[in-house]
Amino acid sequence: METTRIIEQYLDGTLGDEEKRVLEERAALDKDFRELIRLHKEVNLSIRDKDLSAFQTLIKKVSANHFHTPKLFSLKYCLRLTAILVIIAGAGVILKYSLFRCVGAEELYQQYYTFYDADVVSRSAQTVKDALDSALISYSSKDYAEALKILNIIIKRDQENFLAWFYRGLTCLETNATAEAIQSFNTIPISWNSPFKEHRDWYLALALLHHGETAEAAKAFNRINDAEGYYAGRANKILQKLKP
Amino acid sequence: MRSVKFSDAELLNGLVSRDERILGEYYVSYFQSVRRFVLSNNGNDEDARDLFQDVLMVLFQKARDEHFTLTCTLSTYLYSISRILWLKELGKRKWISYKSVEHEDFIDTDSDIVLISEKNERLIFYRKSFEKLSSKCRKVLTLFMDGVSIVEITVRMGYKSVQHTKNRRYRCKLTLINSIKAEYDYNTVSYGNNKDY
Repeated sequence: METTRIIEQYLDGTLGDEEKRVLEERAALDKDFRELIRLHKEVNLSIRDKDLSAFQTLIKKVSANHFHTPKLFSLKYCLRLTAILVIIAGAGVILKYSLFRCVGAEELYQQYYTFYDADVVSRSAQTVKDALDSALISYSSKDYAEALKILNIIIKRDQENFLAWFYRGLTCLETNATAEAIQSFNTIPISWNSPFKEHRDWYLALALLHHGETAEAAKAFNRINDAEGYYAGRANKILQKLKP
Repeated sequence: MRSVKFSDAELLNGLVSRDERILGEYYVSYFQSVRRFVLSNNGNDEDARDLFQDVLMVLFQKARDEHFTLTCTLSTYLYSISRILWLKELGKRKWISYKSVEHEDFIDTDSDIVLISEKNERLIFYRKSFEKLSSKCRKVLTLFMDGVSIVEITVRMGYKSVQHTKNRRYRCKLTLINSIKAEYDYNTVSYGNNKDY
């Protein structure tokens, strides 16, 4: 705390002459110390300057309004309204489901979640393939930070690389970034025609369970059960245990 | 494209005073040209929207500086800021070469645009970290930054002594600095002249 005091007093202009001389000598020689002073100075500026942050919030609002102005009585608007009503109606069911289930969602998640072994990837574009392979190697060796970094780059280049979104979901799930995992899995369209689709559905359902969205998870497990695929048996067991 | 409703001076004043209607006008009048530029230079719609927000943030900082004078039309100025920031973004993405961006004559906008944009990013991040502090810490630090006297802060906060208030301030500041250091990627920080602090 002593360093903080000295720097703050220096920036306030209330530091004594001797201490000021010592500080300036140290700053001249020590790059890290210089950067710490800069950091204090900018942090003080950010505290003082409420306008910049408020301006950013306002821009986001204006931008959202500009790009998503709902037109009254348009089909899109009516669909949204219907969706909201369905969500509200479903909320009661969700609440009931979350409060009166037999086994804890997290307990079930821990019981059924297993690490997904990365598959061999085959894509036509060589650079994308290389990047995805690198991401999978990092993911398999549990270097999730690196995997996520590469996957983000791939996705940034190609928003429709759903395999990258799938592995991003898995990587986030491994690091307990569950909300991000759900968002990644949900980016993949239902119509995705890929052998990975059923894995995506399974891990999405588990992610919802892990995130405490039990009712949504139950719906997802129901779909898996109905599809009678590879995970149907496990989905059925989870559904039995989730029933009130 | 120029705004048909407002003059450049009105648009700049509206920006500084955070007039929502004027901000909307920026989107109506200028966004499309920025979008076209981004789309024709390896970007997508989302990139264009993000870039335009950064451009407005830079313009906000410039416009509220009392020494700022607009020496060209606002549309030219905005377009120039957009180009500079987009080139910086392409450089960051590395997988795209600067050479792939089409070059044409444009106004030589101040070289500090990139520094302002990076500083904006840091200030916003610091502000968010500050907002995560306890309400008492936020209040003490804000009062200090607003220039309220230490005696008055001690009274307002109900602390037992001036020394206690000072210690509280330093403790809060240290907590804030440590949380920023833990979360912010300092490899990306550029302060311009290294010897300044």
